[in-house]
Amino acid sequence: MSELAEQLIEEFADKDYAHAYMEEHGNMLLAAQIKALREMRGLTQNQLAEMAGMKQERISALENVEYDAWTVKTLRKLARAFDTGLQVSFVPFSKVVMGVVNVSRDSIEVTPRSEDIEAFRRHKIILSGGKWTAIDKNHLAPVQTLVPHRPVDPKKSWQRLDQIRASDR
Amino acid sequence: MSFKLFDYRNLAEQNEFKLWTQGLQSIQRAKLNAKLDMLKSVGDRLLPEVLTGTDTPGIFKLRIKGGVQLRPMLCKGPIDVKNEFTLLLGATEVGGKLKPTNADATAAIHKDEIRRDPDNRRVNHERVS
Repeated sequence: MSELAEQLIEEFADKDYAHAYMEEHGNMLLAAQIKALREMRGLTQNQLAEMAGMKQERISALENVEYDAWTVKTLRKLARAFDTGLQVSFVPFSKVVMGVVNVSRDSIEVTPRSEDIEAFRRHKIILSGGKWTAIDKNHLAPVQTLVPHRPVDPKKSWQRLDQIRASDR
Repeated sequence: MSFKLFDYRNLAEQNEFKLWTQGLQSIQRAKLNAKLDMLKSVGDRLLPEVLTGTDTPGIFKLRIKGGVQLRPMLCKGPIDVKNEFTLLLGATEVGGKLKPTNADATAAIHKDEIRRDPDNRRVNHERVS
């Protein structure tokens, strides 16, 4: 198990600690993501500001990890400018722990809608264990069922194919 | 890719940064650990303003807001500047002034000590929960 996950599980037993940690983490993650998405799309702060209907100074403030006055309205404007989805929801702390341990540059970057939807077309949506899951079709291989060439004795739980074949001779 | 964090260790083989952290309140430690975990995961390039310069070149302060503004001093490297950060000294900021007042200069002395003897003058970062 991840050493960080184990530490966070221990630390999050303290309610005040858990919320203070997540508040700080959330502020940094949003600031880092705005900067990463802007750079990924080759935008200056001025260009992003224009697309989101804000001022450049505001974008600069939002990219500062110290910023802590987020509103859903502001995030929606940015999501539209970046052409990404925005998910704001209440989640259990266990999910939060996994989010923290999986933070990386790759996890911060989000592909724009058009590219993402195009790539998603290649997926097959299947029902697995009561949940819908998307699987890349390129990772699926045709499966050929192995059928014994004569009926298998149902009284025996396991039979070796080579023995079945040998008894046929 | 993740980064490595180290703590300065003094001549008496004490981890001074750990001792400073132990004196903080739980909420301050939570904010400090959140910042350090993020720094370790993605580095400082994607975290604008997380590290700000001081009057001493090569010494940065990590900014943590709160009733008491924590400003631990750290540096990149000093051995592998692309992949490591070393926490050099615990400090706070009151009215725009660092406490202790010579925090950045002291941090620079610690950094030089580590550069001269990295095996003994720093240890892997010890987290205080």
